[in-house]
Amino acid sequence: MIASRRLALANFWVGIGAFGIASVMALMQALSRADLDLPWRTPGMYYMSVTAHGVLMALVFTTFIIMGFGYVVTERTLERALVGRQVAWVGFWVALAGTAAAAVAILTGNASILYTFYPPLMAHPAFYIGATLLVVGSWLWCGVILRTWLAWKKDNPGARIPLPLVGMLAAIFVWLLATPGVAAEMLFQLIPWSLGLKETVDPVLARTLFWWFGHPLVYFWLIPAYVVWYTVTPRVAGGKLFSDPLARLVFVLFIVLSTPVGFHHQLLDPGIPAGWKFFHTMNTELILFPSFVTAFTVVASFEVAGRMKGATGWFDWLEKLPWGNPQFSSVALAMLIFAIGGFGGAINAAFGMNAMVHNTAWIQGHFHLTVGTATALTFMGLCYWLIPILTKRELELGLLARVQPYIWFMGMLLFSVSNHLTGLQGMPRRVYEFDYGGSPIAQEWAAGTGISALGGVFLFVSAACFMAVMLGTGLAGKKGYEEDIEFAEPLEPAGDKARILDKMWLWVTIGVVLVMAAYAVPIIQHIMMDTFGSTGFRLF
Amino acid sequence: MDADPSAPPGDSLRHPKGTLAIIGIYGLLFVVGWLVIYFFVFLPRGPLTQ
Repeated sequence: MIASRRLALANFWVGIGAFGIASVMALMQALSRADLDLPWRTPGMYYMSVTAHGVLMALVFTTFIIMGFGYVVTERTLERALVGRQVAWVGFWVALAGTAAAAVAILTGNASILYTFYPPLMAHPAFYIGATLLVVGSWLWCGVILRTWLAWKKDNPGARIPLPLVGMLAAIFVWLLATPGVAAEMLFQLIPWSLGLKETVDPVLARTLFWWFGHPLVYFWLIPAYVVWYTVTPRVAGGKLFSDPLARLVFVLFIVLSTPVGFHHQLLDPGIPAGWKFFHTMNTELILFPSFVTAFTVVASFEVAGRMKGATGWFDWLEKLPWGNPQFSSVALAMLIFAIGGFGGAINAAFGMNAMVHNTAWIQGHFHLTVGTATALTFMGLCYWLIPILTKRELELGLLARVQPYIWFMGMLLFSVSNHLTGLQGMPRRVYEFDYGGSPIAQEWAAGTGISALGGVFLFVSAACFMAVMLGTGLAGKKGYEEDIEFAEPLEPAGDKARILDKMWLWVTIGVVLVMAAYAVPIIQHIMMDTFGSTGFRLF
Repeated sequence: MDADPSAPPGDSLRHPKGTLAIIGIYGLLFVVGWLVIYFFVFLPRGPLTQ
């Protein structure tokens, strides 16, 4: 029973709506990159759409889906209503108001500064204030879930935290460790600067604060997706979770390691000592480990499902999995794509090789595998599961739902592999001009951008299928659908195994110490230096 | 015929040999791919600045 069903649904619908708008923006970019003669195609329109796509997909779609899912997980696993549901609603409206303000600033062409909002590119203050309100709303979400968990803990001393909630708490702690960076950037730099209260801004400090937030943001997206992989999909597959303690270990490692890694996005930035970059690089390599453990544990859970259905050979269990069920196929395909993304991430994070791919098309190829598929496709599968339950309506357009993950998979392979290859050939990212001002080398990239555009069309068709299924279900699904929310059982109960992994405050404390170790000295050193700020630029 | 889901996990469930093989192959491809890009793409390009 979900007492906050309407609250969860409200969050899901905002996330789904943002996804729909962002998908249209993506199609325009993909075709524009292929030099098609589109109506209204201008540099201003292009950069507006890149910004809208990035912000709506990476910040709005993800955050609202995670908030909705977080409420569902909390109430279902603790079997109690949220403590402070009114506060949760306030958080929703604050986040929605912030999203609306930022979206209006972007769509009116007043914030074409891309999703990373690097200064000295300057946006209208409404963008910065709106994005800040989105984060403030998410903090209220964190507070409500933490209060509910603490109240449960008080009433159930010594009880194991349910595994799905361990994952959601990990996402919350990562978010609380990460967002002070972007909050400081917004409050002390970008908002006063955009309001004219400060004449200049320090771009290196701003980028440092952004990436304090920007890389753990990746894990804030990914951890709830892992909650689905560990605690929902094994059951959908007809099996059990292979190992409960391994899953808990992964979530705890994310709390500890997610945040002190941001400098690997700034390996080519001046003003940051190489030693600190190396420290962050090493932490980044460490955080590959929980994802490897996840790959093993979740695939093993699928093997368990296949074996419970009678498979005995090395790989015949794969045939026993429910590939026609979009709740399963979306996650399985997301994992497959994520395996490729993990490989690319190890190239990005290598201190030397980063220079080879930095700011090339390789990067957009990479993050469309990770957030653009591992997270996004998983969240689509989550919606196929939860939207019928929350709306109490049957899933409509089932055939579209079944083919949609496969179209996404094909499209993403075409889009992403071609971008990786053109990136290795040196093609810069975030450039409007198809022929790069007539550069001869750009001709070598033309075939790759054409394939990338074809992938973009596949992805748009897939996104349209998803939106049709969601809107069809929400508006016209047959009423009376009843299904309880159940999570996967572990193969063997956790019992008293690895109880130390439930000591959340211990892991949070270690996480805080590591964040301080990673950022305190370099930021203080930077502030003590003589630096020269920049005035703002509005290019479009 | 499907196995009884309520039965305690047998060895075939505790030791997922297929998964181990898949993850092993992936790990191998991961390392080989990384080394290929390092030795055959990155190093031949030489330093960024002369």
